[in-house]
Amino acid sequence: MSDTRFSKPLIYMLIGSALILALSLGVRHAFGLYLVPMSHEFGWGHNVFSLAIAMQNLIWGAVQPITGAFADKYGSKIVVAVGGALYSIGLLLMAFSSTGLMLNLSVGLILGLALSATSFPVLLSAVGRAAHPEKRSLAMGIASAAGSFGQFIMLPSTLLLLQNIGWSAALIVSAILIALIIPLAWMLKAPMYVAPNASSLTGKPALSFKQILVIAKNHTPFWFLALGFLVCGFQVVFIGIHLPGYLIDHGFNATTGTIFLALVGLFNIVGTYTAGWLGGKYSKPRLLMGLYGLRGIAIIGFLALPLTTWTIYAFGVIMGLLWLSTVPLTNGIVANMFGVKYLSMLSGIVFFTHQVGSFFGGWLGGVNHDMTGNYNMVWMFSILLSLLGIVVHFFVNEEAVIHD
Amino acid sequence: MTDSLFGLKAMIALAVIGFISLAILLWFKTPQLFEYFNQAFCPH
Repeated sequence: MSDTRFSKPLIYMLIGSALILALSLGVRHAFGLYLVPMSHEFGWGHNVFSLAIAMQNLIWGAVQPITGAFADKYGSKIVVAVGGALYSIGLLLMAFSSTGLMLNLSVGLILGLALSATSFPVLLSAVGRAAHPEKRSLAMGIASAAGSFGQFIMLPSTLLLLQNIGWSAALIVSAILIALIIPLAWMLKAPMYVAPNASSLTGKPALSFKQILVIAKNHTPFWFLALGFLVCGFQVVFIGIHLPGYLIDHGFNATTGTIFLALVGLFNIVGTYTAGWLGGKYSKPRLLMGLYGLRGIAIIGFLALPLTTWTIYAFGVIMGLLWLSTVPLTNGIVANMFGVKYLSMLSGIVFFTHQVGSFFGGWLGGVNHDMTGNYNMVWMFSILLSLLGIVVHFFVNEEAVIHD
Repeated sequence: MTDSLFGLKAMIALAVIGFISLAILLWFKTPQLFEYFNQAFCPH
């Protein structure tokens, strides 16, 4: 029987991936804080900054499969290092952006590209490649939890920087922090785990990019999985962006909203790690069915119960536990289906649907509020999407289509 | 598990606890976060 324990090279790779994800996703998570000071200084309407962020999300999602394919072909190390350099340059350019065009170039294009090279699909695939299949989900859960932690710590840190040194200097400090990704990328060098019956050992020829894409295209459970991830993107972004407004509508103060955001962030760390750990023990599609079901129940409970600070905090804890816990499970299923050779590219395709869901979650929440003065329609739609999440994952199985 | 790995894992565990404690402290020091998000994203 092969040794399933984490090897020393894998532990170092996990530390590297964790730090890179924490930096990359943490700095990204705080971008919203720059909207007010930059718009105020240059006399922009909120639409200028919002357009750049929307562009970033779309570019990030659209190029993710391509960046993933580069990582599969040339190695995660070099792609992450280049992504770190781009990220740093993009932040420096953002610090000196004074027009909408420059902001679209820095925040939209450069940072969108950089995020595709330094976020979940590339990093989790690197970790997943090096881990024993039995420990792959746990390893992905640990790396994902670090990304969640980055989001949790970078929000207050960035605000403190903004308040003490101004937005431009805060961006320069962020650029310096992000530059650390370049040397950290060299920690992504644990050897790929090779199964005893791997095609490379048995002499079978490896599949090409084109062949794997054709196989994925014809594998219906893969597209059900992608559809499920769209649900995740929609719900997370709708609640993340519009819940503060919902609380204001119901007469709550800033402290309640801040504690809600903090609880989501804190319990997100616990949730992603636990999901990765559970994914190594139980069926990942069944766990995702449960997860989307619990999200639906939590939303119904939140809407049905009297709205008090305690129900808001309870909702924050539950949604935090369920927030990014989909990530290690979804990526783990892709690895089980198709193996790890083209994992970054295939995870990138699934991630694209997540970004599409994110776009509509953010946008439709605003449209609903503008038209009706409330969020009722989108809350109902979120509950229906939870049902869709349960149904589609019922048809997902993680049986191997390709053995590598 | 070898002793060296145990030491490494213990150091990682301590670092994680330290960082999470620091993050919670930072959240207590920045109660204005919600106002920033509200101004940024919500047209109220």
